[in-house]
Amino acid sequence: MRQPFDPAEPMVRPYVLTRGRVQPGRGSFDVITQVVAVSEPPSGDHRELSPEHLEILRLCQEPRSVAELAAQFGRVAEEEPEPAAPAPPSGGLPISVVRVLLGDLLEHGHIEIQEPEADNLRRIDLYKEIIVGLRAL
Amino acid sequence: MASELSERAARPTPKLPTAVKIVIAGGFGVGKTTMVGTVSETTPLRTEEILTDRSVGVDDTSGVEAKASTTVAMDFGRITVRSDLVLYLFGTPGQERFWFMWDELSLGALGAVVLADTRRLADCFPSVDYFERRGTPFIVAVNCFDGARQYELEEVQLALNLGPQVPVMLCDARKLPSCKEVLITLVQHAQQARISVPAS
Repeated sequence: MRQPFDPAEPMVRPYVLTRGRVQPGRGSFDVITQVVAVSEPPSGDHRELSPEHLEILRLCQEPRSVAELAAQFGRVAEEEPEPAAPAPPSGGLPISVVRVLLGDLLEHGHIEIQEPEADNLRRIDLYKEIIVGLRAL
Repeated sequence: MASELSERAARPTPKLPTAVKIVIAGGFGVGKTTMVGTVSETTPLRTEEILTDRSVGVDDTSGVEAKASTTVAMDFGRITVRSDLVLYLFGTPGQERFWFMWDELSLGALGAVVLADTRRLADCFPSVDYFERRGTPFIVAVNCFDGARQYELEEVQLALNLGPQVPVMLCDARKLPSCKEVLITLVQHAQQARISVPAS
């Protein structure tokens, strides 16, 4: 059942950005799936790319996880939260919305992704490398 | 379309690193975000997920827009082990109504740390149950709050009804050496659980 309209709620609901879609057309996009843009964000108007698509392309010029893209969306790059802040600032877009937008970018060839592979967890060298890395912290 | 795009992609795409995730679970206020922040290379990031009908298993997306204001937040951090290997630590959302997020975080996770507070030991029961049922390798780390009564680790093991193979250790989520020890113990445990032949 629909809830009555509440003027205090934001007018732009997250799924408006995905034109109502709740699942990506392509890719499953785990929270740690790595994403990288294959090119600079194109300039000018683009029929298939919204400002949100372009923002995600800007954010993944270097490889980033889906969770990082969601958390960093819309935040100023230079912004450094207070080190002692008890609660980290919220990301600009919910993960499920970012997934749908990433699905569009993948479909149009703007990004490359690497989904985590279950086989990795059976690679003994992976455990050894992680332990070495943790010891070096 | 594809050829036009490949022409524009003149520069080489950076090789994508292998990503691994570890789940940090436990009751509300037990120190999950503290631990994530202590070991992460940056301040913990917070991201949100929307609670929709899909989340509770009903395949009907009509009316999603009316429910979009219910969100669940989770904090996470990142450790770059090498340029081609990145470790992510995800704190689970505290409330049990957000189990759908636990499923998403636990799928493919290397393992889980269940943080426990001996003053409220029962708070970590749901986490222990959850990872036992899923078969996700996990360890229990008792976060030593100032002034908290110190239990013997065997007492905790008994109280949680844990098998002898599940490591139980003390930790201080604010201290890097302690958090490192916890994570290394988890990775070693997960490696044994997944790869080594069980010593019968």
